[in-house]
Amino acid sequence: MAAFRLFILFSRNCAGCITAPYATYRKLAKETTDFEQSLYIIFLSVAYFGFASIVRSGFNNPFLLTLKFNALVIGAVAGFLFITGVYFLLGRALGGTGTIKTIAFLWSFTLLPTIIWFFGTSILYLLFPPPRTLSIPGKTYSLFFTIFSLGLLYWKLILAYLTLRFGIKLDLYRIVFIALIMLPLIGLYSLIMYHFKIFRIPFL
Amino acid sequence: MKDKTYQLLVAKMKEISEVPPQEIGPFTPLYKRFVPYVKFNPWKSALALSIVLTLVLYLFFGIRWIRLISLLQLGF
Repeated sequence: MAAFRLFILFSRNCAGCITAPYATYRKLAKETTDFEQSLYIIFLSVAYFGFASIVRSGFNNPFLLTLKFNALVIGAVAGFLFITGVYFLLGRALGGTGTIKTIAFLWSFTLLPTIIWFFGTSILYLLFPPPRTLSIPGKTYSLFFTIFSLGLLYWKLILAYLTLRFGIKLDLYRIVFIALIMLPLIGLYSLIMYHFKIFRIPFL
Repeated sequence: MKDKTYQLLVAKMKEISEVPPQEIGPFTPLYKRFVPYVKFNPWKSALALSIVLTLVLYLFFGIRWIRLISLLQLGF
């Protein structure tokens, strides 16, 4: 029963992140919010990693499949801990007041656009495998894919901003400052993930 | 009843004062005009911005942009 209640709460917050992210994040940042609803985001992420491992490695080699799945999980967990840890340390250094628990909780909701993009891209990969051509269908597909990706990126940036705004209670200048520091760090994380063939595009 | 309304008002004031007010100097009025598009139903502005940016990418990069999409499709 508790799991069902959390699921309803999680669904409402997901809908809130789409229709009214500002008000939803303000509500989520309050201490009374149930932190356990993040479990559903973990579940969705793990479901994606399983799906991506099957798409990439297939069922033929269970060893490779397990290896791929574990690498994706470890890469994503490392990214999550890295981002929340750096946010917390930088936020505190700049006079913020949030706790790491709140930051981790709010950041977990920013994974919604990430999960949707990764799931969407892998399904589209199966339906319309690359490369794209210069034909009319190729261009049309590219247009829609770019709109889809940019729209989700915009949503992701809003949620990331709100994580710092309500999670650490910073003003715009400090948030921009943290973002400028984060950019090269995220670049470094992406390079490491690419080097070890875990993520070509970082799961953040 | 009056006490309840007062308590709700105090709770709302507390909620508003949780984060520092956003001021960005001479750009504050512009910022205040832009913010509602992000606060409520941001998918509308997301869609509009994405369409404009996509057309800009298409016009500026042409074939290279389509190659980039092929690469992005392999990025999952």
